[in-house]
Amino acid sequence: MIKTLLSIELYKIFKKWRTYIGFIAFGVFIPLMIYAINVSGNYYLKNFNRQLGDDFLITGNLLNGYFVSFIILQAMIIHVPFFITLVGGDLFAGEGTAGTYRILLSRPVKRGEVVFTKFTAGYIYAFIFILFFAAISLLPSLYFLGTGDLIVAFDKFIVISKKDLWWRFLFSYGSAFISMCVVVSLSSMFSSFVNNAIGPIVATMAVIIIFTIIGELPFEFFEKLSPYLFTRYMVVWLSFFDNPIDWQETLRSIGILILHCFVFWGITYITFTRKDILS
Amino acid sequence: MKKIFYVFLIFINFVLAQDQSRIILDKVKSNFDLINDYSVEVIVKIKIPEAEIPDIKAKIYFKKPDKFHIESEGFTILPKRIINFNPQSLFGSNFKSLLTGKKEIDGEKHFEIKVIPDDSLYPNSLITVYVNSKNFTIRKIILGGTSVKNIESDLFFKLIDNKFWMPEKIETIFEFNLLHFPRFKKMNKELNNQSNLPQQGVISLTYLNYVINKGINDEIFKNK
Repeated sequence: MIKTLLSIELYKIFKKWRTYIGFIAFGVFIPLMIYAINVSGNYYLKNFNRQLGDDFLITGNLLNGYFVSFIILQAMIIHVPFFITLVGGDLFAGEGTAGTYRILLSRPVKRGEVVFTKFTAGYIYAFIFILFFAAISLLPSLYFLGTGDLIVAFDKFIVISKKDLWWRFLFSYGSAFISMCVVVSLSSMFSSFVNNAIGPIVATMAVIIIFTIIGELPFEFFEKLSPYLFTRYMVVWLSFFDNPIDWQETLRSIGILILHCFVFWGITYITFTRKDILS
Repeated sequence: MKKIFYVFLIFINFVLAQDQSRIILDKVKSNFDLINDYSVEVIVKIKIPEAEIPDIKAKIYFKKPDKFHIESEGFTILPKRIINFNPQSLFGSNFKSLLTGKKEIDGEKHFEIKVIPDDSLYPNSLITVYVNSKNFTIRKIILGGTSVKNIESDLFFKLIDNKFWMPEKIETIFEFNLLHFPRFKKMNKELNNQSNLPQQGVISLTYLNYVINKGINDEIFKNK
């Protein structure tokens, strides 16, 4: 039964054209971005040359596929939640808008199973989206610009050898997927409260934007509040480019994100099982 | 009359010092003249306070008169004029030089020579070299008038094939100001305040497996 429900949910997701907005947007923009970075040259290399001057020789392919993929990841990942929310916000509310709650729940399925399959379908969509995002960033970049070491600047400059990069990218895209699962869960939770998808979409984006702003504001009150906001842990992907990786902190952050998924899932379950579909 | 005599003595001393420095540098050059080509593996280690750069292995090719090529897959920073350690690339063909003293380094007598290259590539450049009085290899190079503050290199030569004095290790210390780049904030940490004080970096080059005068195909130097 779960399998049938899941395939129905996936069918519903992928038959709506709004599902493809993110794919189209990134499918057009990311190749353009790769082209622009390639044409403009390597900002880091130019900076190194300018600051160290004529007395040093810099070797290695710094403007490589990994570098460009990293730039794209850090520039674009913040916008991914918007596209994820478009789908997540519609998961439950879409049924309300279409008036299909009664048809769905008059079948011999438990409400808990419906919640489970809707969340799982949302996670599968997030997974496919991140997979597409990774493929459209990495594959053309590596094909056109080749491989090489990656320079990342935190407090220190870290040069990561190219042989260490594939697994770092794998983990960072993986952790980005977990962050997007939180977005799916939050928007689905809001979606279960109402019968129109616009509200959950706007509410989810509002929460993400406000939490992000609060996390960045340098006021003591907000700094104390910041550890309790899930958006703080959504940049966990970046920690895989640190050296050494703070595994304890990274795993803790991933754990907090997963915990948020369960909490939102639980709230949705309670809301949905008590939902009046007869009136 | 006495004054004129002293001025004359100083002038003679200056001319002689200039001639002596030329003789010493010619001996340095003659060491290198024995080499038509060489290839060597080099392990590069870089220590910069605000950077973590992995050690890399590179390969250097040289062919007379001035063909030079480095093969390295990874990112690294190399001291441009030192890496070649060829007097020709260090001073250019026209230069002024003066023997300014003698100094004991590692228990051996070294000549201190100031060189001002006429080369337009390095305007206002003053190079101080310390030349070993026994084997006429360069033990230390101090580059002035560079884009970063003070570049000082220690060169450790060894005899290869009982014939060629080649460096087995070069250690370059340089001072530079904070490198300005857009930096990422870590998840739970604020960025540390970056110091604007000059910082010291060290580049160590360890040379291994010299192949000297065995011929190198010109193709290696093309389009690189």
